[in-house]
Amino acid sequence: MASFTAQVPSLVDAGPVVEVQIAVGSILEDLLTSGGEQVPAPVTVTAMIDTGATSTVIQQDIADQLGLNPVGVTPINTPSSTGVNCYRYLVRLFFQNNVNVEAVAIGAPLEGQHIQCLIGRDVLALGVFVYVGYTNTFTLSF
Amino acid sequence: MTELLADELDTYEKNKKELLGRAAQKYVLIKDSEVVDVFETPIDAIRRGYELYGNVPFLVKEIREVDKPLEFTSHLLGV
Repeated sequence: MASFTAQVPSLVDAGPVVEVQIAVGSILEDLLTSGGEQVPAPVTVTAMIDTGATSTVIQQDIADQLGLNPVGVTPINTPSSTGVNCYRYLVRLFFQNNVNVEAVAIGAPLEGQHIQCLIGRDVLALGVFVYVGYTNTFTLSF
Repeated sequence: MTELLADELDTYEKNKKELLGRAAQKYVLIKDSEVVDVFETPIDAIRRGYELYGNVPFLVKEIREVDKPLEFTSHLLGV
């Protein structure tokens, strides 16, 4: 099982944040490669592991940077809105230690802070998430 | 925000009753006005979409009577 452990100065203040590279999904990468087309370079962002998120979210402009087109649309509910339709994109997330997973992420604006990606329960469903508050560390394994 | 998939969503609505009758809770692939096929998983449907159409918008959607919204407790989402 591939895994990584991250430490932040204060899990209470910052939450479980981690640097992630977001890339096009492997299906599209194979398609582009076989067609002799250039595969867009992954985008490096700060992500937060969010157990309150049903799905993984990427900042909408990341999809644009990767040249992705939507493969679906879904309604979402947030604390301030209900039934807002958002596009969905197939992406691959690369964590530390080359830990990577495929996800159908929502494209949406993420406001106010330095977070450009939320790692949701769709990704957590594939692995083990260990949050050790007293050492300010967390581990994600797949 | 559905402009890129407006035709596909319209096609879904037009075919929803028939799809519910034969493939409820499976995943349909739709491109423009064509219901391409139904799949067991969203990844299978997305793979087929890329194979057929390349990197262009297409719709993969779970076939449900009522759409189930995804829930987010975070105030980070600006919607």
